[in-house]
Amino acid sequence: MVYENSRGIRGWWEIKGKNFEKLLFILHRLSGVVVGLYFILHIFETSTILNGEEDWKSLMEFLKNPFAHTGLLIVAFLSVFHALNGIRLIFAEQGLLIGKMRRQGYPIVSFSLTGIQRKMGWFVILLTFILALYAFYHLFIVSLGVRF
Amino acid sequence: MRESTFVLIQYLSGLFVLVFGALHFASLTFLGVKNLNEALEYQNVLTRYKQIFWLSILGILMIAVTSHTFVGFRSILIEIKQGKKWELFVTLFAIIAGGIIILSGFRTILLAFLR
Amino acid sequence: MNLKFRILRYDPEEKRRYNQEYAVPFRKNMTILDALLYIKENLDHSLSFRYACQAGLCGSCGMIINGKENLACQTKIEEVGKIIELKPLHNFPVIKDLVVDFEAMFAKHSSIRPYIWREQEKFDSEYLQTPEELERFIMVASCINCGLCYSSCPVTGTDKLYLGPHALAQCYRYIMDTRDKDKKKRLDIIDSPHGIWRCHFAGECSEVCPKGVDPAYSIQQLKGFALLRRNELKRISVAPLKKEKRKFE
Repeated sequence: MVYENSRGIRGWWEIKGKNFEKLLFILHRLSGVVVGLYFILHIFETSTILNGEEDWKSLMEFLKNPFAHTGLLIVAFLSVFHALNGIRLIFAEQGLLIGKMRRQGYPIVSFSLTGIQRKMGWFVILLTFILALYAFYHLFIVSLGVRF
Repeated sequence: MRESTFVLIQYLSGLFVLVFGALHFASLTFLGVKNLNEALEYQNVLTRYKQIFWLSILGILMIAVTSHTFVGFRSILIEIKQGKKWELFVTLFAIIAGGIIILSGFRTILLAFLR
Repeated sequence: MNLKFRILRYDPEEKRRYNQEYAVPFRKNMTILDALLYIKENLDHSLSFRYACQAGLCGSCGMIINGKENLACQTKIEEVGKIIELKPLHNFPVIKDLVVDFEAMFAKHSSIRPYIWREQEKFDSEYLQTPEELERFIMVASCINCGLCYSSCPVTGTDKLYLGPHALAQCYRYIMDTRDKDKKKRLDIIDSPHGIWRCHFAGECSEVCPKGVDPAYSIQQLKGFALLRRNELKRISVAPLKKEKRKFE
């Protein structure tokens, strides 16, 4: 009698001690799901425009609070990340930016994990934070009038 | 259907989302809106639905995001569970749910345009 | 100095999983496999693990050492610390203790046809290949079938039908081989719902590979071939080439 030793979905979330690409993998997956669900809500949210000015205004007033805007900030952060990392993945998955085949020698280093795509990964994270700051400025400082 | 067809849809829709999503935000600037509060005002939102150019951007963006989302969901779901029935169910679910989203989106776009 | 070994064991008769600890005296340059052999000889004869060459060539002694897949014979105690946790490889059924069943992985391996595949075979002489042509896939050909990549891959953990990094890397090896002919048929095998596209470049396979086979690289190249670079396969010439082009003849 054998024991099925599959990691299951738990394995997706293990990032401790793992490589950088693994972190990007799970972030990409997570951001995809969150932004996808937000998009479905967004379609139904905007359809309120058909109910006339009153309904629209009351919905917008209802959604204009720090909690909803924090949610929007998270969605903004995740969607920017998903977009930029998606570009990186398109390149990597077409065999670009991951180095060139060569005979391995000691010390053994897998070059697909050291190529330009990894630098691009860090750049993706940096750019995401910068653009999220811009979203923070608009969502909290301009729209909600938060002052520090 | 080859699996790479799904991936091609995923790549192309992703690139479309990138371009048209940027235009979706840029539309605010072109319409002379200063910030988020102004952009969400009833009249300003309706203006965007009245111009064919911005309207078509909304439509294309919606189709692109929906296909990207549901191809993505399908890919995650068939990685969680396998089996012929399940995979057929997931693919059909993705097509039907995506279709509903697109139809309800178009309903909003059309009715807002005619308003 | 004593080392503390915590081994996740499995008793197939009682269907019981439990941790057992052993104290092993430290010796300079000792590997994990040396320590396991010490335990087997002196402390507990019932402990099961698989090994053969003790030189990182046979790929039998793969296990999870302090949370990371590695070969026991290649991992020195100095690299991992005084407390060592050993677990059987993930994504494989455990037969007993640290011994896992490789059958599923090898079945997937054989499904990609890991041999030179041509319609008409030649029996009177060998297929010719230049050293330059060999360089195109020599990296992937050094795979020792240890299963570390298969264990580390997050998708293999949930998708039982996914071919896995090992089989796909080997598929790339045959696609790049000039002696192999039916490259499009190979692409059809892997361009399936549980083929190359279930890889999302998490890169864990390449991270743990003890031979630097870099399965992640191979799979990304295959994706390129399957999607936009299908025609490039024609350029990977098929042996035998024209005689005058061959340097060694």
